Amino acid sequence: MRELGRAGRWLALCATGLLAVLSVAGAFLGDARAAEMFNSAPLAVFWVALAVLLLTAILWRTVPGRSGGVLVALAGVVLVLLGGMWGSRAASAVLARLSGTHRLSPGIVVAVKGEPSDDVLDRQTAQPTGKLPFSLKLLDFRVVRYPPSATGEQPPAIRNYESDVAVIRDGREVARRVISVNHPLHFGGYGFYQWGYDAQQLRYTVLLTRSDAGRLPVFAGFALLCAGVFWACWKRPLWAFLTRQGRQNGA
Amino acid sequence: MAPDAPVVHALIYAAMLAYLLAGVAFISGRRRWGGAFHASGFVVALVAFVVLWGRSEHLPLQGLFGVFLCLGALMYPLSAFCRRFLGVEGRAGDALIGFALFFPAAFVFKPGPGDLMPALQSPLMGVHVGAYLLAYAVLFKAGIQACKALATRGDDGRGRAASRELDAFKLVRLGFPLLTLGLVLGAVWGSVAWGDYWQWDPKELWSLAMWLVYAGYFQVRSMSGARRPRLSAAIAVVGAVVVVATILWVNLARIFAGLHSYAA
Repeated sequence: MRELGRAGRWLALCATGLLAVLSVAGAFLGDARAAEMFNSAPLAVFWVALAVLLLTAILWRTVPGRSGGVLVALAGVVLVLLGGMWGSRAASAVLARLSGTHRLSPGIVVAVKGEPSDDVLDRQTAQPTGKLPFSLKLLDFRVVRYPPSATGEQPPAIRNYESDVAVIRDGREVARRVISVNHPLHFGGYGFYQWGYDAQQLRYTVLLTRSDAGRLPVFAGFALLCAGVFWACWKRPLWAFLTRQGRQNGA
Repeated sequence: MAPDAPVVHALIYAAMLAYLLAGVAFISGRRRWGGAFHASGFVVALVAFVVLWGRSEHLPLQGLFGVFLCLGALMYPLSAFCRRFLGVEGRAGDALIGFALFFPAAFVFKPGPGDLMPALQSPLMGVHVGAYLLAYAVLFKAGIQACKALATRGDDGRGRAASRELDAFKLVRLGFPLLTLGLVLGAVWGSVAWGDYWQWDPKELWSLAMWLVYAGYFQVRSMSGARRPRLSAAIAVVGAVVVVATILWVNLARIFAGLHSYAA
């Protein structure tokens, strides 16, 4: 078991180093090519192997010192990896083949004022890629600007873009919401984010849409990762300081 | 509203002078004078930051001007914290690092436009950038301690190197959770603002590389124990180099243009 633990730790160290090198290489490639590289088949195998390695370390408790904090942090990383895999295009394709459930690829929805829209378009080509199980109707769109500055800068800078949107399902309005940057709408398993607009006449808004699949495990993983790292790094020195203070106060 | 640059710049020059005098006083053994100059430099830098904040009407951390002003100001409380709670010394170095950190704010970068772009208007900005800045300052200080460990030679060098490496370890242990928090909050914010928590942006990838270097540091240290202090110290130095690259190179080099390019 000790030999297995040592081998696992060496493998984890090699994986950490490899990922660090690939991250720097990806930064030089730019986001589009980096995304392609990190979603390629060899890297998919790497992600799965990493998740298995970390799961093994958690289940067999081969982490150094059997630290609870490290175990929680590793569980967080595993959840992030699994959530990321579940939300990926590859998982969508497998899901569609196995169960017939069709999950829409990320795209854009162009909502014109007063007209319900359920078409999801490709971001680059604007070709339809699928249909939402409900429609979005733009009620109003606003470009909110800062107040004019004392220096008379014209026009004042943009503070935010706001789309008043109604969600229509089976001909009935089921929700109404203002979508703006940093304030997306989540409905029916999809997220809608302010992405663009009609700069000339403000007649339509462009919303980025993507499936919420995998979001929950990823966010739970983030929480566990933070909790575990703080626990592993700060617990002992904080406890030592508090007990020292307690002893001094007692004396 | 556009920040009032002349007032802020004058305060930064005063803070730089105070930090420089503090460094000289600490090196020449005048600790009380050094402490007084260091504290006064911090107060002046804090006033500069508050003036900038008041004039821009938002936390002024969207550009490198505010970031370096904040980093320089942080060096005093960080130095006091490390001495009091971790037993890590290095006051002269902290004062001189603070002086160097003010330099880009004083002479290289200008305060950005007063108005924030829509994506930056989030309560997560303060926590995300604040956690990163604290982590950067702590991990850079760890890198300096690690350099000292690597530079230690002589008969009793092994013991002193181990002691300085231990100081570096204490600092990495302090900074790594903050680095993790910054990374995670950035991902959460990206998810809210741009619809995806990870976009393979150059800044994100450098931040991930930085996090992985320190994760590797802990792995190596746990595997080799205290037997190889120089190896652990070398990784902490690499980490500090990646910290500098992530702050400066990634924000300024056109090759890394991406979602975070507004920060330059």
